[in-house]
Amino acid sequence: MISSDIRSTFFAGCLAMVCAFWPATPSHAGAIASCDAPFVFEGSAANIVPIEYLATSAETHEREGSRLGKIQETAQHLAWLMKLDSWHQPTYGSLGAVAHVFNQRRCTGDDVLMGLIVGSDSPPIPPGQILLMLEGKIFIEGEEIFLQSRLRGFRRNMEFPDRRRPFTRYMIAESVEAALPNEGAALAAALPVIDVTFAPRAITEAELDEIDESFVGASAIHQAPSDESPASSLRFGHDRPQAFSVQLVEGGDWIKVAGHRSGGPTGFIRTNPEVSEFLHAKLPELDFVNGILGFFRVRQTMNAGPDDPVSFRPAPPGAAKHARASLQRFLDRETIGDDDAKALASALIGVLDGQSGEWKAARDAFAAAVATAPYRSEYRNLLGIADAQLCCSEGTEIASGDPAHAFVDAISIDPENPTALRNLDAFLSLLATTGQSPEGIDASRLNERQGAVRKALSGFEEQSR
Amino acid sequence: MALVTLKTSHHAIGLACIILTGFMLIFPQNAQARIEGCDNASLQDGDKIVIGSMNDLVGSIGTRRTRAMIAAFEMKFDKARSELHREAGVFYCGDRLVRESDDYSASIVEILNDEEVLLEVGARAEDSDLVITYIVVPIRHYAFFGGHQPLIEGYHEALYEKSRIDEGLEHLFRANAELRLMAALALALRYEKLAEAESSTEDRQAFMHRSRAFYCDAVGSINDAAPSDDLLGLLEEDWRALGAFAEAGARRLFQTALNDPAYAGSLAVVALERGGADDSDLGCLLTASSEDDQ
Repeated sequence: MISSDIRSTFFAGCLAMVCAFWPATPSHAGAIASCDAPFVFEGSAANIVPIEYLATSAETHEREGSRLGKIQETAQHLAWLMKLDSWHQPTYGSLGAVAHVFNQRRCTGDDVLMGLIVGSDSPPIPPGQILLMLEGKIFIEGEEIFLQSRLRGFRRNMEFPDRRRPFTRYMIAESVEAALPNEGAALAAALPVIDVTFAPRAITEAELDEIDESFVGASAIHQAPSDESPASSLRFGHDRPQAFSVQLVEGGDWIKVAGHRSGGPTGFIRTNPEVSEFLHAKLPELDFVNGILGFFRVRQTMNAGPDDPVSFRPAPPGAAKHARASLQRFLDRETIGDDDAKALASALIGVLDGQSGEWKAARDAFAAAVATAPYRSEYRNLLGIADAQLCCSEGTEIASGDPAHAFVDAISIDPENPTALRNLDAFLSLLATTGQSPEGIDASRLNERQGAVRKALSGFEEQSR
Repeated sequence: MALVTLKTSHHAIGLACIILTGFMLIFPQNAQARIEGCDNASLQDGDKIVIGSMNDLVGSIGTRRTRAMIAAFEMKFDKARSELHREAGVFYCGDRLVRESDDYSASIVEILNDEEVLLEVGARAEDSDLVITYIVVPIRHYAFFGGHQPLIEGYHEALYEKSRIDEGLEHLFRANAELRLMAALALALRYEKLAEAESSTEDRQAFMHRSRAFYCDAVGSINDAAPSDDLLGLLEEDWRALGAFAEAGARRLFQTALNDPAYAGSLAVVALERGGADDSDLGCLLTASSEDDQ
């Protein structure tokens, strides 16, 4: 039997060869694909894949065939708008956007995701590449359109593709590591898998028309990258699927559009982030999507190494700032029923702050995540890490909590959690080694406490053998 | 009429048994009883949430409102499933009639429990309200029938005003988390029972930990599942009973772990850090540390 490592190495080698002989791709690309032949741009650092939203089972016994047809046409229109929206947002330097629509049959998100992982109309997504997939449910009653979105996002790991395995096997397990002060051990926290279902939203047909007109106006295709240049409009047409690739030019102020495969529009579109405002007000998850994209791009750039089988264009310098702003916009929008997504957005802002050494801001963000989702152990663990950074560094006088409290609460609500246990062990060791007893920190019974932690840790180690 | 029937046939039953036995030996994961009114071919192994027929609503609230109701339901379930990390599959059984409490007898519930059904959800119209019914199968099986705990029936109802459907389905069930509360409780109790039946120390410990995590998730959903000021949502006494069951379950798991001489897991660390194992120390979170976070 081939070991996982050997298979992974083989996979990485194969991908490197595929990429070497594949044509160079633009830094920013867009297309429409049939959902039963999934496709992404293999050279882009990231791909956003909006899939035509699926009618609910309320339509299963629907006798009015035109009703289902209208729902799916609207769903395709929305997928198109989401793709255009991704062009006008901060793109973090290298992005493909491929709307997937139903062709001969309806597809689920799982179908498309597996096709992209094992390879279909494009090669298997390579290690390190970012994929964000937006799918959902749609329902129409009268003039109102109801939508519920689900976002899945990850960076691809080195695992060899196999249809029988769960999707999480192909995702890099995102985590945070931060060394304790005074050259102490590293603390760690796992971040939740990005798989979020948002609360349902309502949008009227008139509003959809207004959004569409805004994007038509903002997406005029000019013959040259100049506002004075003659232009034609780029419109959604259910019977006219348009496939093309695009490339950022003029420092990101313009995108160059070229017909993809079987022709299509050619020219230049001026990017305009403001055009998205109304759409994002109706669908705040699009701010979240952009924030997650930036977050992954920052981590992709941070973790890039010379031995990577595929190297991607680094994220631009302002990526973390843009990502943070998008996540904050999502937090500022008034929604009900999105607590899990809001807690995650706060936590990711904290991670970005922590990465740049802003531990006080990080602590505030993690505390906000804990307040929004008090029973998620990941956020308590992150709060403990920030507290440990703040409590015990020499000369630090910033008020924080006792990190042990946060780690213990994380263990209490999720006892199968060796990461928080290891953090507690490392923190108690720091107290024992330095002999410090900062104000508000319980430094009593250290031997007894460390003994209990190590006994529990050895149980986990036995289990994993 | 039984709600659940096993796949049997009077004709050639002997031959069917032989074939079925052989099939189970080859594909044990496919051996499953049938749940009446469901598309059994699409049912998968593992924990399930079953949504019953909404057809009875058509006569009382009309086709259009029934359609909106199904869509709202589906969106709510997709969300709850995501929040529970997709621990359970959701299956829509268009021909399955969800009945009154009395129809869920000990024997019926036992079969549903064996089929790994966590929750069964139905809806009926009553005057100006919609009544959503929830059968929390493990609670009804283990606690109500098996544990003789009359305060928690495992059959619960939540009221919603019909007129709210017209306000837009995104408002119909918003900010109400009774579904997540009940699904988390069902999973918690299921893992607790697996732990009780497990002889391997390591596996028992892992089941206990999962059970505690789901009880704590349920505790975290209690406030969001509270009845609204206009008395819509869960009945007040049902909500209190479910909340008490979640709190008690989380504490019971903790105490059981500490009382188990073979237990060497992380809850022992929590007890030591909290300075004891009194009832106040066994909760999911310590009040003091929660306040620090605000």
